[in-house]
This record gives sequence, structure tokens and C-alpha cells, in this order.
Amino acid sequence: MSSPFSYDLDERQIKIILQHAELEYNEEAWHNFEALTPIESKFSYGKSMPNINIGISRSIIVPIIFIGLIGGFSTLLFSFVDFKKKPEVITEVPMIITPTVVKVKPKPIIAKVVPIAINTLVTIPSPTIPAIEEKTEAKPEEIKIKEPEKIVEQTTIERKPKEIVVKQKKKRKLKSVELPTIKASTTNLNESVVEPELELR
Amino acid sequence: MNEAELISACLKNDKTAKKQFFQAFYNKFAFVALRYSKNKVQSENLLLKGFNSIFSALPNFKNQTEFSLEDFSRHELISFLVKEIKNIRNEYYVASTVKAKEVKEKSYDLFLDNIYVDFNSINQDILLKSLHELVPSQRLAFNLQVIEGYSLSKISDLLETNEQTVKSNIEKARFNLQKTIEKNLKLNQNEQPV
Repeated sequence: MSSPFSYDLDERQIKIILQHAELEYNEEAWHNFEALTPIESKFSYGKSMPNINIGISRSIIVPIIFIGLIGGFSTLLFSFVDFKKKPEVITEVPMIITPTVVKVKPKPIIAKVVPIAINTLVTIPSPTIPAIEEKTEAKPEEIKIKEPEKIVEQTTIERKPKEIVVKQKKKRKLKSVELPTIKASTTNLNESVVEPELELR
Repeated sequence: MNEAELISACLKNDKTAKKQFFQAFYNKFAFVALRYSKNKVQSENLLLKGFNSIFSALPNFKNQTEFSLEDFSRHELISFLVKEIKNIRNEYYVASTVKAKEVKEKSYDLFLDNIYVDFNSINQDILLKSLHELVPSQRLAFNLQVIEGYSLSKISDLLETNEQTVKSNIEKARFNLQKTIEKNLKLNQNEQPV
């Protein structure tokens, strides 16, 4: 519960009392003032300096200080990190000669069958023109062949090495033998037993 | 010596002119300083410094014709007093937020609270005493608003705060002033011989 407050002061009266009130003059105050002024006049040379007042409010100074602090801290952290890769230092490893003798086995020389390339002119028989065997003898008349149909190629034919054909042995099929089955009678042990019925109450 | 001659002599740092100026305005300005400060010692110190600031601000008086010399000097003194009291930071900022509780003197008078307080019978001494008991921020705001009649915006410029703070300080000052006046009036009535 807040107590009710009624403002009973008459501000106009207060103003009249206080605004034009006066104190008595005393000579001591002037002497004090005189004593004060020469002391301050010693420091008057400071007034000759230009008075620079930069109106920077607290709302500007505080963020600037914080930004400076954060920036300084981050630069301090970055100073520990090297972004440049250092060149790898190659160190010479001294060769150590071991007394172990390595026996080099002579490889067996295997004779390879190299295919022999023979350049021969082969005429491919076209469906229209029968194949003509080349003859060394001079021919009395030349046979003209149409260009698209005449295909003469210089090819290389490789003689393939003879393939070794391994004959697969035929597996003998095994005949299954049926075993004779024995018919045996099964006895049920519970056949003659009568189960007692439960009485319901 | 008329006003213009007095000012020009003061500007020339003439001692007699300065004394004349001091004598002319001391009575009024001494009470102004007493209203703004917390006690008589502080007011005397501030008043002497205030006169110095008035003398240094006199060249500005020549450039304007808006105020009389007294009004100009009073305004200069008030702005100086406000600035100085505000600069006593351990008093101004701490005292405005925390008010130490005074140990109450034991009173066995059961009818003390029932005494009728007549606020029309306030005298100058009780008012001054009650004003001195206010915290500096409230005292300044009350003086500037109620007695000097300054606007809220002008007070907020002088005190370098916003208007809401000034308003709340004035309200607190009114409440506390009434309470302190009430208390002082009761004490004064008790002290009076029957």
C-alpha cells in the first residue's frame, strides 16, 4: 500500500522568499577574493593555449575502445598463426652399406614369338567385280574400276601365334542309386490315456 | 561610474572597478550560491570562484544586448555553480542514488506526529536548511526549475541529462523537501519555549 502524498508546499511563496533574498556584505569576502585571484593568475598562461573542445559523447568513445580492444586481441591471436607454408627441409640421409650380398638369379631367357608384319596389297573382292589376281606379267588391257567401289587398302596383317587348345575332359555322369526304404509302424504313447476334465465351480 | 565604464574598467583589470562590481552584486549572489550548495563553507568557496568566472565572461556581455548586467552575471554564476557542483562526482552521482539513513534522535513525545504543520509559516532559515538536506541533483533541479524558472530543456542542457531525469529529480525534490520542511517545522515548534 502506497501512502497518499499531497503536495502542500506553495512554490510561489518559496520562490518569493528565496529568489530575492540577500546576504550581508563583509569585507573579508573581498580579501578572500583578492587572495584567490593572484593564485589563479599564475596559471593564466594556460589560457593562451587554444581551448580545444571535441564533443565526443560516451556512446562513441565506448564502441571505439571496444573495437580497438577486439582488433588488438585478434591481431595478437593472428600473430601466432603462420599462413605461409614453410619450404620443406631436405635432409641428406647417409647411405649405409650393408654387408649382405644379394644374389641375383639370372632370368631364364624366353624366346618370344614376334609377329612379322608383311606389307601386301590385297584386293577385296567387291560384289560387282570379281577378284583379280595380280600378275607380274604385263596385261594387254587395263580394267577401269569405279572409284567408290574400288577399295584398295594397304594393311598389315599380323600372324597370330598358334593358339594352344586345351581339350576339356568330359566328366562322367554318376548314376544315383536309390536306397530301399523300410516301413516302420509308429506307436502313440498317449493314445490310451484319457485326460481328466476340469470341474468348473 | 556607470555600468559601461565599470565593465570596461573591469576588462582592463582595474582593481577598484572589480571591487565595486564585487560589492554591488555580492549580497544577491552570495544567497544564490548558498541555495545551490550544501552548506555555507561550500557556498563561500564557490562564490569567489564564481566571481572570477563572471569577470572572465565579461567580454561576452559587450556583444549582446539581451540581458542586463545583473541578469547576465547571475546566469554566468548559476551555470558556473551547476558545473562545479556536478563536478563533485562523489557527491553528485553517489548521493543521488544512495541516501544514507541518518540515525534518528530518540523522541519520547507521543504527540509529535500529530502536530499540525502550517506550511504558510515557513521562514527563510527553515527553507534553506531543508534545501541543504536535499541531494545535489535534486537541489539543483529544484533551484533551476522552481526558483529560477528555467525550462526543462534548458535545465537538461545545463545538467547534461535528459528531460525525464530532470522531471523525476524535481518530483523527488518536491517530495523530500516537503518531508524535510515538515520535520524541521516540528523540531522548530518543539524548541520554542511555551
